[in-house]
Amino acid sequence: MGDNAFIGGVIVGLGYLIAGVRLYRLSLRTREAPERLISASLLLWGLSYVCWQLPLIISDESLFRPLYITGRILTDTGTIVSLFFMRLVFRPNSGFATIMVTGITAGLVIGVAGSGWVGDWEAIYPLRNPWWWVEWAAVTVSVAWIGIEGFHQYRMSQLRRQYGLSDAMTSNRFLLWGLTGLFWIAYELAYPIQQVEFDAIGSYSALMDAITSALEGIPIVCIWLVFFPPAIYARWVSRSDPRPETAGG
Amino acid sequence: MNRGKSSFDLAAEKLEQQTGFSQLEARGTLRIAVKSAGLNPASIGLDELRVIFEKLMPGELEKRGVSDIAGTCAAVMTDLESTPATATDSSSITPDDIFRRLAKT
Repeated sequence: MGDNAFIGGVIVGLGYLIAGVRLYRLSLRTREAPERLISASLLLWGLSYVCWQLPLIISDESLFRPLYITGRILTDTGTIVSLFFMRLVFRPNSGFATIMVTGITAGLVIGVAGSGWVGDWEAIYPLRNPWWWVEWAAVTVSVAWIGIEGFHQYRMSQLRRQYGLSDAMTSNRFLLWGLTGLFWIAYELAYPIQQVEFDAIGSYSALMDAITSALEGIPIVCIWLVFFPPAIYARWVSRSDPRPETAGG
Repeated sequence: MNRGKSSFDLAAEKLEQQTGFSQLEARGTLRIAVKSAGLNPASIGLDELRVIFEKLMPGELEKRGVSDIAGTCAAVMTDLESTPATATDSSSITPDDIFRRLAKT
């Protein structure tokens, strides 16, 4: 990794943290569970980036192990919270969603516990640690759910739009949610290659670093467009919506 | 007693009464129309049902040989609007509502 390899991670981490804080402030006003869950999830993911980038920024190798372990636990906890968000928002009374939440959570817990059992608490040795793959599979299924659900909701909202029951901006949010999941899936498919490479040769290559950094960065852009779309973007997306009738118009 | 019944259940019952469909036919016909509009039968409200019975149900009833389509749709909606359980039930929280609310930071 280059000397400035942490910069991308810092930017992505800040993206999650700021988004999480803004949604947390919204949750204080609305007192609704979806706001609480999504803000908690984003904050946990943002904090996990702090844990991963801090040892790189201050070049203190003694911090690597404790902060990597903490970062991993924060990431997995954020993932579990995001599953509750998915269930509550999209499938509140669904047995399928309950199975997804339970199964993925079990996979994460078993993966972490198994990794600890074989001494790989940081989860950086996939060639020596079979439990690494259990945790990875659980995360991959969780992001796949986000992607598939987003695209499904997008398709349904496009149908609703035909009858004036939805609007372009809401529909676009589901599309972006699906794209977020899609890029997370791509990241999860690239991540094992990077980690196996590290396990085999003891360092990260610049190419895989660039690929995974890009795949980490795009989802946070999508998330920002879902929750904090700039006015110009909102106008562009909404251009196909019928204009409201104005008095005397 | 309407307690525990969803708007979808009530609308299907009214459709059954107005058309002479069996329960299965009425629920199936309504479900097809609801799904065609990209809606979830479990969380559908009165506003959405109004659109269903204005824009989609006429086509579905025509396919099934119902004679007075406009009268049937109007009668079902009148019944629903006068039913206390559905008269105020147009506020089921949907993913659309939540995502709109989440963008109001």
